[in-house]
Amino acid sequence: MNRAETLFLRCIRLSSHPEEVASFTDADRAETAEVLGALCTIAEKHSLISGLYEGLCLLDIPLNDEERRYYRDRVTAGALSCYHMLSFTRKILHILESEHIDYFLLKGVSLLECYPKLELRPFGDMDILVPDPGDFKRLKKHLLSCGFYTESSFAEHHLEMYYSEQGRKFLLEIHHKVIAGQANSDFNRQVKKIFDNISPRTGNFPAARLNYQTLPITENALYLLLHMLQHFLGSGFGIKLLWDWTAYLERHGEEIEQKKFLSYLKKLGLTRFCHTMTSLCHRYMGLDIRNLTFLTGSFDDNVYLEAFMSDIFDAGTFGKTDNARMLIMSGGGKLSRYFKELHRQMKKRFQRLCSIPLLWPILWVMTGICFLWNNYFVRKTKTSEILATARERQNLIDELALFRRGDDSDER
Amino acid sequence: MIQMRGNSLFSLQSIGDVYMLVPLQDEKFHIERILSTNEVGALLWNMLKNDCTEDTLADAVVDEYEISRETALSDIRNFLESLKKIDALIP
Repeated sequence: MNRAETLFLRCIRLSSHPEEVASFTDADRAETAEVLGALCTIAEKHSLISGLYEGLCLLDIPLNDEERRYYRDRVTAGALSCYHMLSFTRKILHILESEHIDYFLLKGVSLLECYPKLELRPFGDMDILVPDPGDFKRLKKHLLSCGFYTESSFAEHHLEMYYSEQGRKFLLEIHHKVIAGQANSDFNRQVKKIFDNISPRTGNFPAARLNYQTLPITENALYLLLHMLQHFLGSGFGIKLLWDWTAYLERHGEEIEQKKFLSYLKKLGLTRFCHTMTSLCHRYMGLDIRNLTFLTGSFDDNVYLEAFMSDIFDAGTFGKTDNARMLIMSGGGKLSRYFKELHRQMKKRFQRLCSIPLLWPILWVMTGICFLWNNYFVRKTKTSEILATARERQNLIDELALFRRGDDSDER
Repeated sequence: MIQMRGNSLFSLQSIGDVYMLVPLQDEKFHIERILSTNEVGALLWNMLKNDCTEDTLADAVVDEYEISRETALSDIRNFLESLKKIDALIP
């Protein structure tokens, strides 16, 4: 990590812990002012301008008129977007209650309560989990009758519904399972087993007088990890998700049923993933881990953690800023890894047709052609570059020993 | 002297030196009822959590910013007018 990245994380940390302002020396402040341009670039890449500006203001970093105007405009736009989403959330919650739909609110407002200021955590859509197929169908029908509409998308574990109001387009993602299916079928079965038949917890966001149904504290922690994992195994994720994990553990860490949580991690083979992400939060975002007893062993491997942090910084918001990050390679030999990824992309691209195995050879060829075509004409990125990035990221994924049941982080 | 106070459905939100009064708790939320303000507006709003008069508000502004009472009163009236327009003031 370079100096700008380190200072960026400290500014973000400061925005949610203003009491720590004294930890910045005069030299830190001077250096922050020097790398202001780089900080702004990082913040834009990770959609965290409000967090950075809050930190800069707390530090009294001098800004010229143009810079101040830029930050104020961006912060205002971000805040207004947040208020719009709150209003949209209220509307959806009202529909869910009036239609007696059983649901779990995921992320969004249920995470805002972990942040000291709601504007620090940008959110661009609303996610709900509606596990009951009957409720799912009924909700879709009702929303369509209320002016919602769908657009074609590739997501296999959720339905995207849009609503336009006051010149704005809102996105509601209705999930029928917590995350998309992963390459490991045993893992998928275990996830289903854990999240089947859990009772919702009533959460509230007093700042906006909102009450909602959400996952219990322990299962919500697991969901946040799974959400990180899903993005990590896709194009990657940025600082925002790491901050979510930090904020959630600071707010609810002591309420997590630690034994139960640890058993989930072991069943899913996510112990090392959880330890790594939590260690990153501890090391780089100041998370106090003393009361998190689900963490066993220590993670002091600088090189290991630096490599993950570097991947997170490179990713930006969900890795979408870098076209070379679109592939992942699952385990196995080199050739089988390429083939598995081709198969995964095929399933993603041809969700309906892939249910007919006889068509697979044709679909593999079509997927390969689409991949090459899109690299050249759409992504304008060399295929060799994409494959090289995938190989580099594969090394990180290998380190995590994902999906190995009963794994133990003490092995490191 | 007319007493007034802020509508409790509104919250003062801030990021850095960007201040906004937002009807966060109002079910009839509308973006046009958000008021961008500044540090002085934030001071006045915080005072309006309790019953206030124009005079008590002016006293606070004069004390804090060392400006003339006339200027303070003129600015306060403009601010109160803006609050009335978005239903953020209870007379």
